[in-house]
Amino acid sequence: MLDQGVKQIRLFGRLDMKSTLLIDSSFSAALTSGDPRILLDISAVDFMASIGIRLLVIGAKTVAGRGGQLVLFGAQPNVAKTLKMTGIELIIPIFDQAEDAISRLKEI
Amino acid sequence: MPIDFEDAANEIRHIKISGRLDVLGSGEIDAKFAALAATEKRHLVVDLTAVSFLASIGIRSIISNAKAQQQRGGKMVLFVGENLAVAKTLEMTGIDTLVPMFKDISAAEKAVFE
Repeated sequence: MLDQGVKQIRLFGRLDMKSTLLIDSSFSAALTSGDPRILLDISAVDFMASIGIRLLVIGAKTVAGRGGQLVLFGAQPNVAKTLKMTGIELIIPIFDQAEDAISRLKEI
Repeated sequence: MPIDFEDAANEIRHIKISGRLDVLGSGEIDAKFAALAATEKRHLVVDLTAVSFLASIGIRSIISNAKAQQQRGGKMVLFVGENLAVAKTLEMTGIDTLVPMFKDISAAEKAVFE
């Protein structure tokens, strides 16, 4: 938990089929409890497969349904490229720096 | 024709896309897709049954146009018919949870009014 109640979650490693299935329920639990303004640190994610995108899309939808917002920050170049190519950046705000991501969340 | 449309009597605009929705394919149809989706009509059914390949950039086109319609108070749904490859891509990426996807055209036409 951060100041002002925003919740921070950090993801690591590859968001491929195996890893995503492993984290699915704890990620989901983290999104459905506490502050629905979620700061998602993806700086340590080095690979994003389709299923990783799905995790983010459904996550964003879940918190939006709770009146919150999911924002991402710190994407590595290849992950940033995937997020941009697929248009995910049109629906989930993505920032380079945590500070900008937090500012966005505080607007809610 | 990689993109075509038909305005039905029931106020639905059907947009049909064929071929590959990859960088080249999306480049060819993007402007027209956006223009067709920017219609004052509020009910869009996008027919992807004849799409042979849906790449990331195709997903982006879909998201972008669906979002534009939503901001206008409209609704866009996807009709995939028996196109399992496209259906799978949309399911794998979770895009089907954002832009409803249907195998049956009548279900699609009903959903677009919800």
